[in-house]
Amino acid sequence: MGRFWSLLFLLVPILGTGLFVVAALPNSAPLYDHWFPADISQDGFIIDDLFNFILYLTGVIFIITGLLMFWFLWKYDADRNAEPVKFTHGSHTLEIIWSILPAVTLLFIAIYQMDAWAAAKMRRPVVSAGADGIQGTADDQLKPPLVEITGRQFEWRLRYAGADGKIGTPDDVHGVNELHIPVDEEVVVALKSQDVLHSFFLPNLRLKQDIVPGMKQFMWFRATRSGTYDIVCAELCGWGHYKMRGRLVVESREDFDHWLQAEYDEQNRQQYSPSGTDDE
Amino acid sequence: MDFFWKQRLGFVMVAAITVALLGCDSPQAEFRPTVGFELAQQTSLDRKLTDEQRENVATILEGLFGTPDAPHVPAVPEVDISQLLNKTSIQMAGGPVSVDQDGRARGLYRKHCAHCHGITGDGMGPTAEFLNPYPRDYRMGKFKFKSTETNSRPTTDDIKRIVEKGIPGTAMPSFRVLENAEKQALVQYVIYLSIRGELERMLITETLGGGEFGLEEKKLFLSMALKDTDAAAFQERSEWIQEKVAVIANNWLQAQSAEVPPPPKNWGSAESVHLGRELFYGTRAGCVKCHGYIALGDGDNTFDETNLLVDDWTKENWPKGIDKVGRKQRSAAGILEQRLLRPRNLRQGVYRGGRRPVDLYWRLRNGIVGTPMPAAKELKSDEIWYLLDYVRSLPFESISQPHKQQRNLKRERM
Repeated sequence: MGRFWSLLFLLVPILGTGLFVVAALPNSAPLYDHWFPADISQDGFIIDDLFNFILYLTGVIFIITGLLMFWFLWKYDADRNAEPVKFTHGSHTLEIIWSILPAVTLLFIAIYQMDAWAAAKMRRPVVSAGADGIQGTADDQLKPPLVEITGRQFEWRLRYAGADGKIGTPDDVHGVNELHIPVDEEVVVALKSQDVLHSFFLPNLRLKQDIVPGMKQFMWFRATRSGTYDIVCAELCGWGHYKMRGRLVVESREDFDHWLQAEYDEQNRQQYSPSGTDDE
Repeated sequence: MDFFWKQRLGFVMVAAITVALLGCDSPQAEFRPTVGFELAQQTSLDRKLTDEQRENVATILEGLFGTPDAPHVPAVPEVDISQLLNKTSIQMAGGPVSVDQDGRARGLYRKHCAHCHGITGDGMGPTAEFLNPYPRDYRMGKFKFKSTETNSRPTTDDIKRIVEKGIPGTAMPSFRVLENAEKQALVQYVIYLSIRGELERMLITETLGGGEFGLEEKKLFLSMALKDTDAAAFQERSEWIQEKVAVIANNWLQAQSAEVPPPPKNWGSAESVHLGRELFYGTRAGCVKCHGYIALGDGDNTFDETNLLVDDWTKENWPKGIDKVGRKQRSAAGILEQRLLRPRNLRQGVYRGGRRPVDLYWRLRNGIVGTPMPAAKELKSDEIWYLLDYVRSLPFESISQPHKQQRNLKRERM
């Protein structure tokens, strides 16, 4: 029986690696397309690269560790080794190596990702550099949000700035769960929560932002491909968390303007005609 | 040692396979009888339903509408009910949550709606008690946000609109991303539950002797025994049931959005807002009584302890002057605790039934059925438009001096 366990533990690195390989291969059953959704953003590849880098790094360590564990179990099986156990006080050099190596690696990752973090969370697009002409100072004219997204149990309420470009005025266009944005344009959105923690997640844009009640956060991105994508809530926000699905529609500026105008007109509908009320 | 492990492994395997095959079964879904209405009728008619009678009502309903797991559309003479309830849609929305052979979702109602609105559509699902306002109980056939006349049923488009857009300010979320056929199926299932509920109420009234037939105490409304003893009465009552379903279905089929006349020429101007303001604070419209002097939803009526602001559902479930025993009966039946209504705070800019001028026009013109919000019968259409203009301006009207806020650059950046 002894070696049975070593073989069982060998399955861990084999199946673990196999799972990733199968998931990443296109059209491979049973995990069809379980890898990343299509990347439609300008900067999403940075996130993907970081992910892949960490995945390969940990993957290699995972395989080595798994194989080592198998090898030790196999080699020192009690049934086949009559020799008594030898004790050692360890190796100082080895300990230094396995402390410093991970420390350096972690430090490297921490520094390497800083730019991606700053781009996603701090460098909000600016309209102009302000009076001092230097970008990145306090008087920068920040790009105003196109839409304010309010998460609430269990939907995304949207409020577009409308013609005046300001949110909170009578010409705002209100919507729910279907976010339209223009393609190939830097878009800033404001995020709020009405009740509990939510997390606004755009998988295709590789962006995720937790939303805290009482705080207003901003998110910016540039979508490069038109189409319809998912919006999901990535923070368990209550029993209806799964209901917080939305639709992201990326379209040309022209289509976007048309759509926004149509929504505005519908929102100001003053007459009712018995036919053609269905907007689907 | 080897033997021990083999035994243990074998046991775990058998246990795992057993669980996988049997699953964790939940109790079978059943339609729940309408207790609040029954108790209210008992008091007013001074009679009680026997268990047998209650069973009888359930049997009649099951014969017509099926069970939650196998719902079907009642056959009705002279009315084309298929326009309203389509067999495939009802089956798609009803039943347990699953996926059919073609990969289409089944049991949509139970997946998306039942945990609040209840299997029966009684607004008593497991999550209902945590919500304010409570989820709608469909069985009275009253729906608040609709485009039709005060006492008409809503149109199917009205219900679809609610499913699609949700109701801001309440716990009803938007189901916009569902497929169109799925949304359609859900709308039909809501209507199906509503028709069933309305008929149930009629049957209870009849069985308690308060209806057209004046049934004697402890008699069943319709049974096989009746068929043997009095075939004519059996025939008559069967036809009566069919006729009632037809009437209810017809109410739904004939529901039509009320016409909205165009706004006056000066609508949307400062003048129109001013005219609306006069009406708002005037006695003819009487808005301030509930909505308050600064429209925060805190009018004098909200403080009136003799005439509590409650909706029709609460009125029925918790009648005035109810005694301790009555309270206990209702709580035991799972009827949700009484809650007072809050008139809308009009400065929030949240419009439950939709923010389009037409929606607001319908709301003002026809009121909100089931609530103290009355239909503005006295007002001319132009006046309603002015009033509406003022109401729409309220979220942007300052209560006092406009508050000047220092721009907080540091916070805006993050």
